[in-house]
Amino acid sequence: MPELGPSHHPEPDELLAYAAGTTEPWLSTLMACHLTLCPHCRQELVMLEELAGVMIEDFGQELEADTAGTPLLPKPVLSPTAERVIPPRPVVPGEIASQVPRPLHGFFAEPVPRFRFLAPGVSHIPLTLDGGGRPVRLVRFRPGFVVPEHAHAGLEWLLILSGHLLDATTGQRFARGDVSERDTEDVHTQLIGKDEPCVAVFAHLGPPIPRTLMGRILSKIVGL
Amino acid sequence: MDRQVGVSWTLNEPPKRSRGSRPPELEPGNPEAYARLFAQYAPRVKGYMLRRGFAAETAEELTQEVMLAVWKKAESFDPERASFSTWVFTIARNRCIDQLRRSARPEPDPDDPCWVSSVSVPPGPEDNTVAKRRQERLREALADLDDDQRHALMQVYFEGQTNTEAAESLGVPVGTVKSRTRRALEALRKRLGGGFNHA
Ligand SMILES: [Zn+2]
Repeated sequence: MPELGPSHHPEPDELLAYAAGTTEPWLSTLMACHLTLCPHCRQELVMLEELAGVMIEDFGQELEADTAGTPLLPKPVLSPTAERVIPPRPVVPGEIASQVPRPLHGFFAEPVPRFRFLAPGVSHIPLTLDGGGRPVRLVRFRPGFVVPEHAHAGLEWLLILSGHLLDATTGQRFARGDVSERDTEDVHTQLIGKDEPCVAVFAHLGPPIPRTLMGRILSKIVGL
Repeated sequence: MDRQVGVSWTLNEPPKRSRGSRPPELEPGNPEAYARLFAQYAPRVKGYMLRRGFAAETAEELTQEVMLAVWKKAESFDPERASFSTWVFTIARNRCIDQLRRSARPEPDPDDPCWVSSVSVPPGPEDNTVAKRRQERLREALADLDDDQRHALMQVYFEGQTNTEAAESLGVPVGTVKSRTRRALEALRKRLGGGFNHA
């Protein structure tokens, strides 16, 4: 049966780590955004959580710690957080709310987020979400923009929110909900679809290393 | 080749109730029932908290909180969606994340205007049976894995290490850890046959 939703998913070990609860906050947040847009990965997540349940039932004896002396109930004074604290839902304007999945809404610095000029054809909104020492950000490219050839000093993790991006090196096309991950050794050029702007959430765990003069200039301006 | 750390995971007797259904320990308003629930799950929850790196005292407090949350939220446990152990695991995991970060992690929200629904058949009266059958298949697939592969997966869930931390503690590159868990996942998927979600 054909499924709606993205065709490029996060790496399987990342979804596993998300199910286990060991992903860094930036990755948990971006995974939650992808899961909002991806019924396929939500099903996978159900399987991976169910796997933990089966492990606890069938292989959990080795996990056991001594609780003989543990009182059944927490001391109320010591445990003000027994109930999970659900932060109030941030209010963001309709235009952003309809484009950006809710897990990111708490990370806008301004009440009315605005894309700001970064370089000709590129604007951005830095988020208050730390991705390995650099802010995760929303980046908007004008139609037909070319991100010059570059490599990475760390993982590049991006999630497309609107428009299209073509990885000229691999020939892969990315649309809403798709995840692109490029590691340090990958060199690539990205082309933005000609019909509409492309908005993506970017996490760069190390600075990109431009390979051309244009790229070096762009990198200085953009700081991507 | 893979260095074994910590424990070896061996098969033990599964609890003696029909899986997926609400356990009798959750009958509301019965303190003895709560004590039984505690006796059954608290040692595993506390062991989990210790492995996630909490000191004994904190692990104990978190265990009490998790067990109380399980008890209080019993109403919202849905046997058609997950087995009881899975439900306890997700509550313990989320409590653990909240404690580590001092904040809740954002979750995908079905009320989000951005939410993309599955085109699969909506849950119907058959779902409970389907869910149980999937759990059984998962159980068989897991039991059928090599010890090494099962160990790799259990480490991810219960040693609570990120890939980077696991690589450091094993003295191998991150890529090695990733491909090890990836191979274990692939082996599991192969044993699940036509896919977990298309049972
Ligand atoms: Zn996906």
